[in-house]
Amino acid sequence: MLERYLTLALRSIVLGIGVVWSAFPIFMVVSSSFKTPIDIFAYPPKFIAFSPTLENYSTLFRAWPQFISGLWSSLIVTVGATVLTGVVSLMAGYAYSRYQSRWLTLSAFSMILLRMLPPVVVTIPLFPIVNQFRLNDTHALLIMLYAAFFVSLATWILKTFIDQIPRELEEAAEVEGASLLQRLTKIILPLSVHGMVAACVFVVVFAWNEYMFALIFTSSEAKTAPLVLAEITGTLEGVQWGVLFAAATVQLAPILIFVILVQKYIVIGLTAGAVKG
Amino acid sequence: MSDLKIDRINKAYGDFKALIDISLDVQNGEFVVLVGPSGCGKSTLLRSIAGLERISSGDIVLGGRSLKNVATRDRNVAMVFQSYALFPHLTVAENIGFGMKIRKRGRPEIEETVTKAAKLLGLHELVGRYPRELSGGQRQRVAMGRAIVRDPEVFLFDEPLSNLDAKLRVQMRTEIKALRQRLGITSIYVTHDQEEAMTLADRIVVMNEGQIEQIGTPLDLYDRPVNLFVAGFMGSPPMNFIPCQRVGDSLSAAGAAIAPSSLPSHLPEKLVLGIRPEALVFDSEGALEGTVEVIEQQGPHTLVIVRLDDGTMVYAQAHKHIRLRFGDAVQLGFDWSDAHLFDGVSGLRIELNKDGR
Amino acid sequence: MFETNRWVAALMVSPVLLLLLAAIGIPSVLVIWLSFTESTFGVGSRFVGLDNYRQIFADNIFWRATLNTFIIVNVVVYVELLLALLLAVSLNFRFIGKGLVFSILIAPYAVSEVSAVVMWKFAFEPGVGIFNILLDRFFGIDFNWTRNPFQGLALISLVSIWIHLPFTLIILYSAVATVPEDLKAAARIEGATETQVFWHVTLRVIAPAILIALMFRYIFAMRLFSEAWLLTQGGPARMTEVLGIYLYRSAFRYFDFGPAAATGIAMQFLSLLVASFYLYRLYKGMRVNA
Ligand SMILES: Nc1ncnc2c1ncn2[C@@H]1O[C@H](COP(=O)(O)OP(=O)(O)OP(=O)(O)O)[C@@H](O)[C@H]1O
Ligand SMILES: [Mg+2]
Repeated sequence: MLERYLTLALRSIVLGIGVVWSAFPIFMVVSSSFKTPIDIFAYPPKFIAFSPTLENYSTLFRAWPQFISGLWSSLIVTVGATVLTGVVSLMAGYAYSRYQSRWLTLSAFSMILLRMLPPVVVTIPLFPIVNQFRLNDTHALLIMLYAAFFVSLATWILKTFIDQIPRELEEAAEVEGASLLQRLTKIILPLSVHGMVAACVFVVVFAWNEYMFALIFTSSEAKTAPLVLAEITGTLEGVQWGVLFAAATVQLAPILIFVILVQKYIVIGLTAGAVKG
Repeated sequence: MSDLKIDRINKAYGDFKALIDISLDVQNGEFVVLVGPSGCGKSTLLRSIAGLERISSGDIVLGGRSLKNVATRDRNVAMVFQSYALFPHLTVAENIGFGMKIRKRGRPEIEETVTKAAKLLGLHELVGRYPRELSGGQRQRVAMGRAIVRDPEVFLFDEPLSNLDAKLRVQMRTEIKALRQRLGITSIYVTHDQEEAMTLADRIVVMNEGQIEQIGTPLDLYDRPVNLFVAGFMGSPPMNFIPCQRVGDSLSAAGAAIAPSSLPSHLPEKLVLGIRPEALVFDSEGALEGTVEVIEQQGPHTLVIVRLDDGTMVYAQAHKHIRLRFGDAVQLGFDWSDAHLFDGVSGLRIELNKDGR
Repeated sequence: MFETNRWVAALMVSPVLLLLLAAIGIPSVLVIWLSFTESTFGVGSRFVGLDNYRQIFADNIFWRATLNTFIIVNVVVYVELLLALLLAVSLNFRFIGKGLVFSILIAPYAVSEVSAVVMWKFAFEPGVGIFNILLDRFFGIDFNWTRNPFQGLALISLVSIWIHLPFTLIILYSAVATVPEDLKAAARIEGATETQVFWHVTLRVIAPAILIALMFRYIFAMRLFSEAWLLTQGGPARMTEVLGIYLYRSAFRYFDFGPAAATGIAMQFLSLLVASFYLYRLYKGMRVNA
């Protein structure tokens, strides 16, 4: 009995620390974004903004118009990379699920192998090529890069989901007159929506938050929100912490809500895909 | 509706031959039932007609058009699957109307046709439901509905009733029969259930190991099975087979001499005598002697399993009030007009004179 | 099915393969060639043999970066594993609010490296950050990570762990949650204490998941760039550089693509070394399935 209470107590302590560890930094930034500059570094710290103010936000949007266009860029790139990943991975996942051949196995294997290579390395040879094709500072380039690093995972997740759709359903549709494309859109896609969500959450989060590729391949037009955020951090000599927190909050809030809403799919996707993708 | 002509088709999976030289002509409006043991190639034949399997050789001609290079979706056949294969994400109405939607028919037309079919099948109150909200029999009906609305050239059924319980199976069987009489549809129907085959079929095709053993009307098969396989396959309980020898002009079976009044000439040495359980009668004058092994009450009659003197077990169907006990010595008689004689080596049927007595 | 022939299959996988080849495959091969040439921005290249390798191997900063990477990767991976294991086991029982606790625990997954750096920079801002004040007051530690390379590396590791813990936690928690209750109950009936149940049952069953989590985290941790770059930019005096930063500096600050490519080859080599064990097992598994 004693042991049971002891383990219960231990568990609670561990989870309590875990919750504080995870939530505290986020909470501090979000709550501080509503504080006046004096309250931000008050000691002992004020956890709740007693006199909440939107001053930081108005300063942000006044002083950093590029942050708005950064958010816009991020949105375009995220949607683009997600759609691209979803479409090509559905096709590939379908093929890997429904056909088998030595050649396909080999290609699946090389997909996983490529995914293991460090992203920063490809920037060196890509840089001159990208300049050559004038893809520098374009959304299209980021979309392609982000998708490329997630199609492998997404394909495997979708394959495991499509594996569970009986072939007979497709045969019935075929007898009813459906073409391959119609089977994909009218049978496979609707029956693997969960897999589709699980396959896409990762690229959504990655594309919205990515920093390195954006740093190397964008300069103005396609600059994404994390990059602008980093710039705001960089001009901190005068320490405009409040503005920085406001920007961080704006960048963080939508994706945080998204992740909490789809956490079920993150778990599903990681367990289905981590083994392979 | 159209004629279907299957011309010497073969299907191989690697080295394994699933269909061997299958030929079959189905008339317009005819209902053909395929029977045979599990794994004999019934589904494979059906799927080949639908184009879901690619045949290795031969040709299938539907309404005068060769289907050799026609994709499944252009064949205009309808198929009811054993698992029904209903689309779980679509409602009953959407399932039934799926093919029409794929073919880009107008919404009012689809709605009208679907409503009509739903009424015909007694589904009109369920059109908004999803397959998971239906009972087995209702699902089966939806699958039928999906097949009939498209007005296909031929219907293919792969054991459509095998997932239903016995009572529902009989009910659906009757409904299918009513439906086929109403719509006059050319159909090929696979089943394991002989009663189903007998009730529904214009003609029955018996298959075994990828080959057709016999094609005929239900009565043909029952009365004149071409070989031991068909004889043993049709009828439940199956026909009794008693090994026998030709001894001069007479036959000897189970240690007894049994002689028809006239034997065909050129009989082989080794023979098999086939008698259906209902043709065996308990008769103290009977030639076959044995002891009672098992007695099964079946309601309308009693089934008695008798061990003949040579050890052969036979089923005999007796009156339900027959008084017999385990171990009783009995004599069994039969009428030669109900008996079948088969070649003991090739298994082929030997024609007896009609008045074989 | 009629339409199901191998050309259809090939057509359907080709977009994914093309994307992978264009963005990763071909560049990964080109980088080998680049590592033997001298060029700026990758143009006007000249073959120089092993010069680039000689150059980076003779560079103290390269070795410093390698060492830093080695230290950070190992600290990050094992601390994460330990924390995730603790949390996963603690989470594995029913209680009210479990969903909320789980949501909070994986929330850092949603946070970008930039935002995470903002958060932790704020908490550790020399002189004014809350943790600096606490460390100074209770332990007398002057935590100035902008000056002290060791503390800089510690902060980089901390941020990295914070961001990536949810990944490890999810994999381990899914594994822990699938350990059959019967198995644990049987062990308890045999008289095992909770600690023994953990060591002899739970840990045994989740061992494959631990291996997978470790492998993935090793490979991903080696890519470390953003957190480190945003926190210290490798400073002070290039003392906190990791391989990612060393490569980035060579290529995009000093425009020396040759040494950068050679560094890239070193990173690829290390990644594939870790991955090869896993890939080998996977390949055997796929051969069996195909
Ligand atoms: N894709 C395949 N590859 C290899 N052999 C197959 C394949 N499909 C079917 N077969 C074989 O072909 C034979 C015929 O199969 P089929 O499904 O047509 O049998 P069936 O008569 O429908 O049996 P059942 O009554 O059990 O449904 C079987 O022996 C089966 O093992
Ligand atoms: Mg079958």
